[in-house]
Amino acid sequence: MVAVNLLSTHGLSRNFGGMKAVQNVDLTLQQGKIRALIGPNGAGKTTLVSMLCGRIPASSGTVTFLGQDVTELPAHKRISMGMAYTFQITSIFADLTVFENVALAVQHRLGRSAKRLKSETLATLTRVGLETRTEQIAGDLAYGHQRLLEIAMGLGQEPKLLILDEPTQGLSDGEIDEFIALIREVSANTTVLLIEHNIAVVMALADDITVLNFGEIIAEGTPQEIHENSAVQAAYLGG
Amino acid sequence: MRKTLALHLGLIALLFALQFFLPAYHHGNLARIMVMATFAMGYNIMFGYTGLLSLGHAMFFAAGMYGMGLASTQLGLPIGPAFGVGILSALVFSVIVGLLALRTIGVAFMIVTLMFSQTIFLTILYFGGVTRGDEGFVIKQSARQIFGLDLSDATTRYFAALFLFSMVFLGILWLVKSPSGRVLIAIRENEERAKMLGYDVWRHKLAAVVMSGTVSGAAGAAYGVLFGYVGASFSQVPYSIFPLLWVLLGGAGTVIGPFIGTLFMFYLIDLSSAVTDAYMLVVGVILVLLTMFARNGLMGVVRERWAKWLP
Repeated sequence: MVAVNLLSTHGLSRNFGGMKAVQNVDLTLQQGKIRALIGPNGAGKTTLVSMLCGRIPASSGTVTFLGQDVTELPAHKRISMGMAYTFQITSIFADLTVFENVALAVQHRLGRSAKRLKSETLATLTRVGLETRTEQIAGDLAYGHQRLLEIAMGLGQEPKLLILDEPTQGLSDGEIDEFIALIREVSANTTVLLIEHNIAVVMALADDITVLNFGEIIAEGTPQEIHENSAVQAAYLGG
Repeated sequence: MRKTLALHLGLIALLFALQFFLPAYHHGNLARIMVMATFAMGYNIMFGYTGLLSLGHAMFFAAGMYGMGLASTQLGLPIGPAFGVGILSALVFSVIVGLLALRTIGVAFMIVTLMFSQTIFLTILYFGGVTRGDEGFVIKQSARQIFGLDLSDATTRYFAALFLFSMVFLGILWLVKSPSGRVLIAIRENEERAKMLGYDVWRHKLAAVVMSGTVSGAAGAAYGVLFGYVGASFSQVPYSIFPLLWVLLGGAGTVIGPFIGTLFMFYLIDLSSAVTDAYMLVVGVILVLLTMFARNGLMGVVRERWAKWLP
């Protein structure tokens, strides 16, 4: 099968004042793969993905999604094209029920023909194992369950590209195992971009890894290649 | 859903039935309360459901009222079309206000709406030649006739008020249960999240301002028609604060709350002023107590304690 590029960036940069948070990033995501984005704290990972989904504008460079230049498009239009973003800091509708949270994600995809809203929302909640908590107020959920709800909101959109910003932060070991199984299943028909600190999760899931340091890509390759890369080791170990 | 319909249709049925039993004084009060509750319901679309706090809703009330009043007195339109002009003025005006004010958020939004409303008040005074400025003007009884009905007659007026109230009441119930209504609530709860689910937040907010302003304007136009007076005082600061107060008291973000709040406030003043000259003190103390012990308003408390399903 010929590799199809779902998303690519060219020379993507972002400055905050004089600080270059992201510099000149050329990133290509192939359809159907899981890409992990790793790097030390402050490397610019969240800034980079925020430019991909339009939460913050790029200072320069371009973003191409589904063959279309989306650099100037606002976030909601990119999301409508088939991106989904789950927040690093849990961002749910805390005063609404678990069901309503996911229904809002599903509703946008289904549009006004809301007949399937209930069944698809329940199906999505079942995938993350929250189907018994549908009527609970989201803000009352345990932290781990809030993370799962956040992921469910991403899945509910049935995106072409799912961007997960540190999804396993705060999950227990058992929950992490379930998360890995879930993402494997999702990746059958979704491209995944995963920001992750937990190297075990990265090694278990990623087809390819991109390493960011000081806003620049310092290495890219298979998990095996990255594991052996000296520049990466230097970045992490400060050598 | 069944409970929801029973409650809301029940209230309309109750108001319908009350017309046959109420003594004249309370009958007149309730007609006025229903019009003002419509104003509050309009306010609630923005404040209660979308999370946009406006301090200038008197401008929408006045836009409807003066649109109707001037169409009737200056253009000599019959009261039906004049009422239509009133609603249309509020609609056009709220589009303009929405486009400009929504460039700001939070405190700046509050100040911008407050300032726009002051501008409307000053504009009314400036064009005193046609608006009669502070004095305002009367819509003559002879002009307040529609389909052979005299809208200044107490019974007709009551039913006209009830009709307007019911339309808006059920319309808002439908809205907040609809997909678009749920998006408004999502914006109120977490705007960034709503955006990142793919919703065009700005467009939904604009729609909320336009719906809110138009309903408020319809209430203003109805007030002018039913009570026969159009005056600049309705465009002043107190009339921007009243709907906020009514909605807060009754329960922001509930369909029934604005009516409860308006009713409560009206009779709180009415009853306490019958007992003492220091009635504002009584009112003040009760409002303070409510703020302390019922932060989400009367219906907000009902929803928390007994009726989670309350829309």
